[in-house]
Amino acid sequence: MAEISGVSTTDIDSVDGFFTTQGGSGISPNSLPASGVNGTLLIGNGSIPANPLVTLDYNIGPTASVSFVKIESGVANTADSTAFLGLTSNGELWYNLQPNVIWKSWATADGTWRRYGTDSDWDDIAVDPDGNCFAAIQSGVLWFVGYGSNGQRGDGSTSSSSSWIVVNNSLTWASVSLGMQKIGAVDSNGHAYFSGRQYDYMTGQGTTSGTLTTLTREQNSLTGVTYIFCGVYRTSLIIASGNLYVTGRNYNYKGGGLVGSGTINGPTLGDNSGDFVSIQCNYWCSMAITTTGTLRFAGSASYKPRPDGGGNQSTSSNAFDVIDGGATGYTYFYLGGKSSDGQFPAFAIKSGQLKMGGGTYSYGVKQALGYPANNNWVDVGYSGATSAASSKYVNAASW
Amino acid sequence: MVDETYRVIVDENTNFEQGWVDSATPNMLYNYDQTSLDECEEIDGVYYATYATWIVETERVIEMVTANGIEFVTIPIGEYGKL
Repeated sequence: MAEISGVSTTDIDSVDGFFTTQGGSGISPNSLPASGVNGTLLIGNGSIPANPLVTLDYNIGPTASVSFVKIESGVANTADSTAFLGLTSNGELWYNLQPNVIWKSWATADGTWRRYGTDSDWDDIAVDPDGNCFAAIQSGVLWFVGYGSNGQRGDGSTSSSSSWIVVNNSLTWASVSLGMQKIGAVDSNGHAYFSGRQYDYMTGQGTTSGTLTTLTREQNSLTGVTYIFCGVYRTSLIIASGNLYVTGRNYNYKGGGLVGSGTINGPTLGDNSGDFVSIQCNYWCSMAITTTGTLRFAGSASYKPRPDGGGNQSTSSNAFDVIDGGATGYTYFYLGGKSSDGQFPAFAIKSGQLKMGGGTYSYGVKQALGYPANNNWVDVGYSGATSAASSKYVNAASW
Repeated sequence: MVDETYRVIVDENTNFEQGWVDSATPNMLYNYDQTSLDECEEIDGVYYATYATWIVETERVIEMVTANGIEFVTIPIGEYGKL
């Protein structure tokens, strides 16, 4: 009989942090969008007043205002397989799974925002961009649920799990990121570990062969790691002591101009500006927030991911220059994308104002919001924004 | 550092998801480059899959996380993951 923390999985409710049913936190939406509709808009939650820009059915979550500090999303193929996790500032874990999410038996997958259990000591969340698996950190313990064959569990097993399991509690974990067929996690000592497929050196272990099944770090590698981003493709980015390191694909210098634009074998210094706080990347480009609240950009701007409407910064000399005229106030940036797609809108929060732009109009998200087809950046219309996420068909925002 | 690629015969009984291990690299699983027989090259009814081994040119020490904490594993010079 399988056990978790010494308790049979048949009695999983007795394990701290685990609930096979929800503790009365399920939300009755005001209106449910039609399942599977391309372009369906899911507004995350929070106090959402009447918004003239929202023209499609939306799904208001809780009856009381809840603001996420982080939303992660992934989607397998169609809108009805989209999955979100949300984390609140007071450590609550929320989710929103569409009915066709595969690894959903731990949840009520009806496209509404629900709180997971009653614990309020969750530290971080991550969703695989393909919607295959989820990871979360609770009081320093790393948990996992979903598809395991790509090594994203990181505990030596490639088995899948339909319920949340502890994959490691021997270290104290601070943050986690799930990327395309890989996971990255940072422990409380500031060390970064990877597990998963090793395409193009994206796990930074010196080989493109096979799959890491155990969270691994080469001895004497980076210290002082504060942020890790596994990316939607074969790029992994690490911030240590304010500098940016890249392993895997560095096309368009999206991992920095201090290394070549090819494939980078192991975490290598890409930018030494020393002010990186967080970073996002997709197949085409990267966007970073600095300690002063400015934005740094590197890569192709073909899908208009820049809030200032600027062009490419895809040379070794201009990668990660500060953009938007050095404007400050940026606290959050989300670059949509999956595999080689760049069609999804990006989101930025600048001085509490949620902004959205870029992507390809035909993918529906912007149509759902009633925006014009020119891909230019616009204010969504609310202030006090805290978090936003976009997947292939669906977006979510939180105020 | 170059990984070596091999070409091997596979058939309908091959489990493409499972992969295989090399005891010298306990943190890794080796896989075929293909995920199903359909992706394999077929010549006169015989199917061929490819896979890459890991060539370690200088001794490496990796740090992996186990249920008991950090474990250091030394990987000597050599080729790993060969069927």
